[in-house]
Order: sequence, then structure tokens, then C-alpha cells
Amino acid sequence: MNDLLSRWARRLLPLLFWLLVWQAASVIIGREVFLPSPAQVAVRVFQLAGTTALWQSIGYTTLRILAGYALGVLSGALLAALSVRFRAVEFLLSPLMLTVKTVPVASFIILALICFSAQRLSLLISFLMVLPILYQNTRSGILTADRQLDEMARVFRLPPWRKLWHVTFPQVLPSLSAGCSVAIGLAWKSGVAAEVIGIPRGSVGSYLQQAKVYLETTDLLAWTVVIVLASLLCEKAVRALLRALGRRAERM
Amino acid sequence: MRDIRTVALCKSYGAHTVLRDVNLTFPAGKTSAVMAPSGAGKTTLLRLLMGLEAPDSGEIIGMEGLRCGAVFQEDRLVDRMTVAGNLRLVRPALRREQILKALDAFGLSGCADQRAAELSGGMKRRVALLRALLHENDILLLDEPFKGLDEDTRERVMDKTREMLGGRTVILVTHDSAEAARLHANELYLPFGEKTDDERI
Repeated sequence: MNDLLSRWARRLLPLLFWLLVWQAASVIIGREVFLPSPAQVAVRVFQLAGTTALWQSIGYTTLRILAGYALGVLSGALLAALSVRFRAVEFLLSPLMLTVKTVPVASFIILALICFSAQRLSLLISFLMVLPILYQNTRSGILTADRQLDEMARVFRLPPWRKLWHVTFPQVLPSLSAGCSVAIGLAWKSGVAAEVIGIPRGSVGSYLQQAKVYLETTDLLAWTVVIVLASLLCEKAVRALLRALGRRAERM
Repeated sequence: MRDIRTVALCKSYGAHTVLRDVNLTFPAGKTSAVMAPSGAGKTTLLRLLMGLEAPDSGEIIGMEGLRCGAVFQEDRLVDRMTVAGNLRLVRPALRREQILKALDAFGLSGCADQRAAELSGGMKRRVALLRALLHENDILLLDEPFKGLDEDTRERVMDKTREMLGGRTVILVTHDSAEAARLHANELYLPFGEKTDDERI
């Protein structure tokens, strides 16, 4: 009980501290347009939560970002596996991954806007953000996996899927999970940034953009809070999913 | 079932010759014990037989198409899986009763649902041995399978192992003649490559 209490205290007290700093700053500045107080933002969040616009836009954006994310995770992991198996794939992919990793997101967003519709923009951008991270993490996971177990699987002639699922996957899982956690946050950041630039109708990004145009700082921060919450929720869900998969793979 | 033969088998690592001109015959359905001191290339011989490494020259005859089971120098269990899971990994059709009975015979009662990582060294060794024995195979390659077992369990496990071999061809690597005798193995001697005193190979 005491433990639980102190754990909550460790989490909540710092949060409370920074909220107070925010409150103090907004009192000192004294203008809502520059920095609204936490209470003003909280009220706005609750107001927004009562509108269908919020839920629809969250649905719209989440769907696209998660689709891009899932695509990025799957192709990143798959390409990593291929690159470990075939050196040629590694050589072929390395400049591509380096490019995707280093080119500014904004360049991709503008380039994508020229070529594609704004609707699918956040999907594409979050995909591009996630891909190199998962590629890198899965690769290092596979490379550090136990060679001895590999040999064991070979000698006992385990069928490929059984080896992959029960021997390889659990070993790659830690670095895969780390990649997935980092990537989900980035997928949200870059996906929303893409929406702010591309302004697809009914997306979270388009509301952020609106708030900017009308200098609605309170709205801007309220939407930001909503995005952060959605992103954190997605991260929790992804972690839970991976944990469940890990437990499943350890059962035989 | 055929005999397995090595013909003029040679293997070196860099300048270090481990196996030089090894000619051995392992009779089908029998247990052969390869005797040699540490560092004489026993493990290397097993790795060649397993197909994990290729010989520099010479060949291995009779292994084609045979299903192999092995106890490696290390235990090589999947740490996060349960004992039962490790056994089912190589033979998914194993029934719970079969597993419990086998564990019982090896002095591992009550371990079925423990993770491999939680076992002691000697227990892990026995699970690794059971995995090889329960796997459906034609030939067993055993690299000091009783290593690290205390005296009582060792004899009991050796007897049970002999009972479970069935008609398989067994190649046992050991430096203990008592072990070979207990498994009714005929002893074969590995000619030395360049004898070394360490076990870096």
C-alpha cells in the first residue's frame, strides 16, 4: 500500500510542480493569447470532449497514423530480417534508410503533398518515420540473438515458423518493443505535423492549424493535450499487445 | 539404417589443426563412445557430424536423410520457456503424461511448468538430454551429456538414458570410460591432431 502510494506520489508530484510553474508563468504573462493557464486549457479540453468534432477528428487521425505505423513496423521488421539473411538487401537498403532517417520531415511532407492527396499524407509520413527505426532495432535484435539456439533449431530441424515464433521472436522482442515504443510517439508527432501542413479536412492537424490562424492559444494547447493523450494511449496499447504476443510465444 | 563413417576427416581453425585424418565407424543402432582428452577435437567432430561446420577435407558417409537429435556442449534451452515447452518445441505432439513421466524418471518431478532459466545447472543438463531423447530421431549426438550431474543422479540418469535409446545410433563424446561402460558403448579413440592443453576450440 505504502509502495503504491509512493509510486503515485513520484509520478504526480513532479506533474503538479510543472503545472504550478505553468500557472505561475501564465499569471506573470497575464495574457491568454500568449499563455493560457492550465485551468483554462483543462476547461477547453472538457468542452471539446463534448463535441463530435473532437471524436471524429481523433478517429480520423488515429486511423491514418496507426495504419502508417503498422505498415512501418511490419515492413521495417520484414526488411530487417531480409537484410540479415541477404547481405545484398542490406547494401541496397542502407542508403535508403539513411536518407529516410536524415531528410527533414518537412521535406517529405511537402514532397508528398505535391504527389499525393492530403488525405493519405499522415499515413505516409508516419510510415516513413517508423520504418528506419524498426529496421534498425529489429536488425540489431536479430544480430544479437543467440547463435547457439539457432544451431539447436537447425540440428533438431525445427520448421521455420516454429523456430521464428518460439525461438527467434522472443529474443528479438526486447529491441523490437523498444523500437515500437519510440516509433509510436514519433508517428504521432510527424503525422500531426503533416496534417498541420496538408490540412486534410476533419483531421486533428486541421484544427491545430485553425487554432494557429485565429491565434486561439487555448485551443491550440487543448488540442495538444488531446494529441498527447491519444499518443500515450496508443503507446500503452502497443506495449500491452507486444507483451501479450511475447507471453504467447513463450508457450508451447 | 546404415553405419556412419568418417573418411580421412580433417579440420583446422587457422594454423591450429583440430582433426587430422579421422577415420571412424559408428555402427548403426549401437552406442559408440568417442574417448579423448580435452582439446582433442571431440566437439569439433560432433559439429561436423551435425552439419554445422564443413570439413576441410575428407567426408562423412551415412548421415544423409537421418533425423538428428543432440545434446550440445552447452544446454541450449530456450530460457524463457517452461521445461515442458522446451520439450514440446522439438516434438509438439508430446502428451502431458509422457512429459511428466520422463521428467519423473530423470529426477525432475514438479519442474514441468518451471521456466528453464529458473533451473540449476544440473537440472538444465537433464532437460537438454531429455529433449534429445524425446525428439523423434535416428541418431543422437551427445556431447558430455552427463556433465555437471552429481553422483547419484548421474547413475540413475545414465541407466534411464540407456533404456530410452531404443534402436538409435548414438555417438557419445566423453572422457570417462565408466560412462561409456554404463551405456554399453563401444569405445572409439580419436587420433590427436595437434594436442593442446587448453579447451579453446
